[in-house]
Amino acid sequence: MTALRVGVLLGAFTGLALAVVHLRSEQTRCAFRTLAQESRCVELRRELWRLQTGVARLRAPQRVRDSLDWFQTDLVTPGFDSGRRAVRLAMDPTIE
Amino acid sequence: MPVSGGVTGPTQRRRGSVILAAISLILMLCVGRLVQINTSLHTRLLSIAQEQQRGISVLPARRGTIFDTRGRVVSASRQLPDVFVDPSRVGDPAKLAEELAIRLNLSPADVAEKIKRRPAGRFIVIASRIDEATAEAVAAMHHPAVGLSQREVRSYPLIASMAHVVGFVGREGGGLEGVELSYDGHLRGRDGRRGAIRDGRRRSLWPADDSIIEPVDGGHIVLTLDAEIQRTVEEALQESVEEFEAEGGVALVMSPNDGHILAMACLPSYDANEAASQPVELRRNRAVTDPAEPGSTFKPFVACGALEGGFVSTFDKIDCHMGEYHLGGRVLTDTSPHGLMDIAQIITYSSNIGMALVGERMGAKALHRTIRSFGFGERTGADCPGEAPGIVYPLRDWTSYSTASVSMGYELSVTPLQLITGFCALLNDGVLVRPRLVRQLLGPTGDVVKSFDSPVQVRRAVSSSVARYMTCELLTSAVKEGTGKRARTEHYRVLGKTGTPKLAYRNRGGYEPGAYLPTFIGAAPANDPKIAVLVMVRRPNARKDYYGGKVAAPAASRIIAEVLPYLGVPRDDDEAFVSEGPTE
Repeated sequence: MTALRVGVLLGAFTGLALAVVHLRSEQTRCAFRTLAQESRCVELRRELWRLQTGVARLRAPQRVRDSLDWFQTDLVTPGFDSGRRAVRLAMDPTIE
Repeated sequence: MPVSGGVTGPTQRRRGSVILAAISLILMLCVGRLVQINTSLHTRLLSIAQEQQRGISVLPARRGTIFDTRGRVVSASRQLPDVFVDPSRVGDPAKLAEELAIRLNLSPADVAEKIKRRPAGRFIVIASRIDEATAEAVAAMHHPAVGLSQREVRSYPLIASMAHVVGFVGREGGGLEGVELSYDGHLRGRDGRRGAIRDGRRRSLWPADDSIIEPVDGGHIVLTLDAEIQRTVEEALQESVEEFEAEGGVALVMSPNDGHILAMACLPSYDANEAASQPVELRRNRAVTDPAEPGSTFKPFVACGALEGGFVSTFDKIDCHMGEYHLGGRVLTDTSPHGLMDIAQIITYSSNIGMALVGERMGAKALHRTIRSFGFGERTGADCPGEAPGIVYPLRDWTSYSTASVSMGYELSVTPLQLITGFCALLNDGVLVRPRLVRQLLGPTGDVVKSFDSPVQVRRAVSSSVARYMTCELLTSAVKEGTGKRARTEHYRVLGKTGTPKLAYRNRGGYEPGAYLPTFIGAAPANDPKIAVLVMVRRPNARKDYYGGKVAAPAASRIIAEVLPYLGVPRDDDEAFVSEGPTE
């Protein structure tokens, strides 16, 4: 009986020790994963900033105009064509 | 056969005692060392251990974004990698230099030179702001001495457009010019920090006990400028500068009612993404830093003062001496000879003699008061760093010629921003409004922190009736019949005034022969102005032309003709004017 008790106690302690080790390793793994996620978050923010500046470059008025020219559409911002025509008229030397 | 191990005796006991004493001594030494480590050496060793095991990760904050009035990004931050080398872990410098040079498209000799320059250093930057593909290629080397570090970089998607207004930031991320400088405190973010326990390879393994400090992004700014209008203004100005082979130019568009600056262009401009490599002279916002004598564009302000003070009435006829008038030892001339003219004709035909005589009637005191009431000689208070107050001499320094000179727009200097701000007071029923470049300050999440939409009235410069008479009659006539004819547009009535001031020498008295600053300042639609426009072309080729009405007015015409439809301003219905205006 004494040997059995000792065996049970040893088994219990061993189990407890293994559980503690497992929990500790799991905790370490989770902490590592948390840090990795934070790093990923920083990387994603960095990627977001890169994409935002890329979109901003595409939305620049001159870039939009160049794109319209490239696609050969007739789209123009209201007033801009009539303005150029008016200038040509105003530059007519006969009005002086 | 005797067995030595089994023999007991005094010798063995002595040996045993010696060994026991030695072991005890060693144990005592160990205990002593342990005590020493845990007491006197504790603090130093703990800090060494922490330095080795603990690391701080920076959580980067983003500098705020600058938007134009319609939400287009004018300036934004991103992060780009730098490539660095740790010389202590290089091994074969020549081989590493060659490998890096291939990936970074640099000369191996240059890379090797950089590595050798500081052999004791641990962080030598080999290349800055490299693109993503190059960064991947460098990371794929897996060389222990080579690393990548991220650095915040300001990006200006509009490139040279608005460069003088927005300014730029330095290597440390602080604003150095323009709005970037004046609102640096609002735009700047605060980096966060996170402590971590690292393993032997310096990988973060475990969060440190100290709490995390979250990053705080900077606030954003919404400008009053419109990138589309800015582009139009820059193009129109560029055309004039190229056509007349000028040194440069300045153009401004302002909303007269609220003081919002819709465009502010300076030529030559520069690429804000490469600001550090540009000469200082090029980076200066000449619309606010460079005062100049305004010439004839100043006459409307003097005329307003004369009408307001009753020194001249709308019916008074002034003898303009057929284009030549002797004042003391000086001779004043007009470009074309005129006899008797009223104040309207003096403004319409921009008579120097007529204005000098009006100024003489006013006297120095009233003239000085008028000038100051329009804000000349003091900063406008716009949010532009480096704004010059211009030069208006105190009354005690005025000479006997000053009233005549100042009435013609000489012997004082004003910045382009002051000139258009004063002009807007005429368009705004005589009330001087503070010009603004920033419309809103936003928090990091986009909430409005402060709004500057409501106009700030500085003072009443002139009565409403005089201001209306000046704009609706005199300045409209100056474009319809006078020197500003080329500012006319097909669909909008324009009012304005031309000027062709001479440019003074920079370092000595007198005027440079053949150096002019042709100017046009105007507004449209004439009956209810929605925009004021100022165009100044600096030092055109005088052999081509140098009059404000011929060099600057066409650019203003183009700006008005393009910007008003863009803003949705209905065309004028004044059929009479249209029929008299330019025809095909």
